[in-house]
Amino acid sequence: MTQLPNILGFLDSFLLPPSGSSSAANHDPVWNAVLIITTIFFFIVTTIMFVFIFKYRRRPGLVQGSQVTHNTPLEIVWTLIPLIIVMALFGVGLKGYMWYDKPPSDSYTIVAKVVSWKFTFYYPNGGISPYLYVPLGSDAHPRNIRLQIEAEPGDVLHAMYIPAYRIQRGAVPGRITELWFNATSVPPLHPGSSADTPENHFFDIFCTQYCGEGHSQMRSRVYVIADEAQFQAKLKQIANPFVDIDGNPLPLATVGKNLVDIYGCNSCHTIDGKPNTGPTWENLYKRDHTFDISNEAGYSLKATDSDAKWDAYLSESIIDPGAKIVGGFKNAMTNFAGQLSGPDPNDPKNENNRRRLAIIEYIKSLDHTKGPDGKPLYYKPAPIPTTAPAATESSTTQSGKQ
Amino acid sequence: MTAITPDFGRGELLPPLEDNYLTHSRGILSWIFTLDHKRIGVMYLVSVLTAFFAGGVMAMLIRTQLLKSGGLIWPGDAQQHNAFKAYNEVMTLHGALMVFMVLIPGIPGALGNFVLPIMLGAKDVAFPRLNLMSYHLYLWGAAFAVLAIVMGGVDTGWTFYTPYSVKTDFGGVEYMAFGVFILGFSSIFTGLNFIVTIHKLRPPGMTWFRMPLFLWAIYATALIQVLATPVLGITVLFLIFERTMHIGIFDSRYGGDPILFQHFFWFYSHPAVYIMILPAMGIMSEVISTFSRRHIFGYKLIALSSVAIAAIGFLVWGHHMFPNGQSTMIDTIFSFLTMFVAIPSAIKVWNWLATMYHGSIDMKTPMCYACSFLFLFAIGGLTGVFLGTLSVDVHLHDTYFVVAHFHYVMFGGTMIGFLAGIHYWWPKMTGKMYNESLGRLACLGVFIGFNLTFIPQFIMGSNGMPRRYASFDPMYLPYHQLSTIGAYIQFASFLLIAVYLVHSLYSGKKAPVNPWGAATLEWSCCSPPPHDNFKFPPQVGDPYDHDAIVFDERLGGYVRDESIVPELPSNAPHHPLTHEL
Repeated sequence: MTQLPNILGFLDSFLLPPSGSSSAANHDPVWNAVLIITTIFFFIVTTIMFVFIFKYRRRPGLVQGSQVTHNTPLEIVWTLIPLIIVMALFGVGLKGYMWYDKPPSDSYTIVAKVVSWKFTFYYPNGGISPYLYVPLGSDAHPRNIRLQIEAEPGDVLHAMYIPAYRIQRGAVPGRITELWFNATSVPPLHPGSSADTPENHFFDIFCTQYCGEGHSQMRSRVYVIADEAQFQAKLKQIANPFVDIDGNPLPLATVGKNLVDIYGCNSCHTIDGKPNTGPTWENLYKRDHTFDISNEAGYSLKATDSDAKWDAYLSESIIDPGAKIVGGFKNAMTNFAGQLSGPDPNDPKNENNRRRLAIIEYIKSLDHTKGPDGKPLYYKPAPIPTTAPAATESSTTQSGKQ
Repeated sequence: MTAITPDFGRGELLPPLEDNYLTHSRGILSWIFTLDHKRIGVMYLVSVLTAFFAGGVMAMLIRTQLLKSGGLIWPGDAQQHNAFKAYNEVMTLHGALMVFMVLIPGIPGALGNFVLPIMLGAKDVAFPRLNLMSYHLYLWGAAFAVLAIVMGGVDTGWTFYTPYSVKTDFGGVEYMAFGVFILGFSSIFTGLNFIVTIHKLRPPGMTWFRMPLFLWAIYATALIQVLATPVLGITVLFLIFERTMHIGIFDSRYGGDPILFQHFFWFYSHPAVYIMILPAMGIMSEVISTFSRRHIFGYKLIALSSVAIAAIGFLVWGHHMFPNGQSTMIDTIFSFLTMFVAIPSAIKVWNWLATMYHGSIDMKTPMCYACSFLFLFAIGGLTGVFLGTLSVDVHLHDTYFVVAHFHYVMFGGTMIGFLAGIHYWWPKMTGKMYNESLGRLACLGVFIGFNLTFIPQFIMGSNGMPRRYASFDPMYLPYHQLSTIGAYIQFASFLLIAVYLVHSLYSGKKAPVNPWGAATLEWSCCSPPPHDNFKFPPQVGDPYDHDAIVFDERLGGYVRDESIVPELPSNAPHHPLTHEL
């Protein structure tokens, strides 16, 4: 009997993803119970079948035994035993479910916004990230995380699933649903990673409710940070995308690249020249463009046009995407006016404006035209600021809902 | 009428063999507008197998796409997923074709139509014209499914979940939904016809508990078809209205509730699982008893458990929405009720095993499929216990574990049962014997291929691989590759089945009246049956009394031993209808 847990442990390492939370610890014993019981029944049924097939195979000289047609006590027994077993399983399953269903009151709440085909996490300090960063807890000192799942009104159904935590919940437009967990281990190196870097230590988040062509790519990651000070530093960095985790300023194009992940520009715009819902950003800057729809008659953009005209166009395309539609595309883009522009779109101090300019800087950096000297012809990297401007929290929190 | 006891086994009092239902009348119109239940059954069989082939090709495309983590046929990635639309359409068509055009009409439409009246000793179903209309509606439903593909395709999944099905820019959704609506009526008509036929056309002496168990299964199925399918009809109509007129019942943008659609949909579609599996269970009871030469064990319990499954099956639909935002109370109730539905299925499995006890088991092709069924359905049923257990479902919901589970039930159960039935009644339907060795070989191929396809899916599902993914994390790659190899083995095995069955039509051995030694009535009319089945109402005995059936060397088949007179109940009803027919 002492061997049994080891066999189970081996089986579970094969059948289940690594266990990373108290909710997994809540689930796994029930899973094991069902696994043992169903396996026993399966072997009973198939063994009897194979024995009978062999023992009573039709052959010369086989004498058939009694042709008994029923046996009431036997039939009652094989009805009642499975009934008792499934009722017991219903009980333990319900107990585990009630535990999963209600987040503890001391939970740290992170809002998970779900849109096709993207998870975005809004932290209490105003930070926004495409990934979920959580502190490490333990059974003795839990750090309960409550995910408040908000689906975009008018969007389709999604569901948020974290296999390592054995939890999932549907995201229903017009409703707020919840998930909670207490992360009890730092994720191992993700299978299939190319290098053992901290970025590759994560648990998967998947969308499990079919939601269209982007469904299978609607994924995110859970990073568990063991050190409390590091977790706080990470939160600060998320709230201020202009600095790295140590507080040093980042090049503006790098900031823009990170913001593109957060605002989900890359679900429609590629950076490798392939067409998608929107025009590719590769070599978009300083090229000749014509427009199917324009709020200025006869408007066109040329490589020779001034930097100022280009900047104005790129800004307008983010704040008022329907104003000018590049030839061959539909007017399909979300309006980012509230998220990526301040009350005065030209105020350089406004956090939202700064973010927009960072994204524009990134778009410009994707122009690969080389001058005669082998350096980029049009793209001039903005200087890295020597001192990091402080994050303005209010602007990011107000950008919450669009 | 002279008092002659018909000697059905030797066929002396039956019409000459040249005149059977296949040769009774000629010309394509004599098939299209036939009222003969046997011809309608054969046409259903051909149509269902055609749809099965189309659905199978879709399955091969799905599995081939999943040979690479980014997709082999339609590659894509996080930035570039337009190509996945094609995968989603193929995935949808696979599900919709297999469910609505193969699994649901398959056994009742093809085998039920052919066998049910003969099993009753009747000349046809109660409403032959309704029967023909049911088949014609099936064709119209199929035509709308093809139209849906032409008009822009469908990518909603076979479940049509709102609001996705309302918002998608694929233009074929309305057509497919309307096709499903029509197919629903086809199914209702079949069910209605069978209920009336079983009530009114049973011959004298065949009381409810002397009916073959296949009839009990078909009867329970027919009850579900008649009671549940209208709900599907109204649901898909609402979906069409929502898409075209925005009536605001399912779409939250107009004040509707998308979860309501799921309740409506599963109120039909969960009982529909039992529409699929119950007839297969009926075939199992016939095949296992016949090839074990043994009276079925626990007849009443098997018969009543079919009805119990039909009844409880109506009360468990909510388990499809456990973590989807239902209230905790509803989740609890549905988990509790779901557990009950496991019991009647378990009873049947025990009874089938007990039937084999002290039998004389002949592993002919139908019996090979029956044993496959026991093995695969055991896995399908037992993995259902994982999903019915609430806290485990929270982990497994909408993963490949679910995909594997329902394939073990729908394929391992229904399709394997259907194959058992096709091989069992093939000599009766066509008058020809197929190649037995090839039959067993193909059965083994399907069995191995199927397990190789879906056991890896259980493992990747419990490891967190979500369903309906056109691309996936590379860590699941080995499972997907194994699964695809298994699918190819299955496809090859099915081609083999098609080859030897078609071959048997042209050069198969002539089938005797009763090649397997079964005691039910269809084996007392010749193979293939004459146009009106029986000249005289056949003698009704115990459908599982194999002692009275003995092998006759001269005929190469079994005959009823006339010295053993079947015992008739003293209160056997005399039914005028059977004589009029």
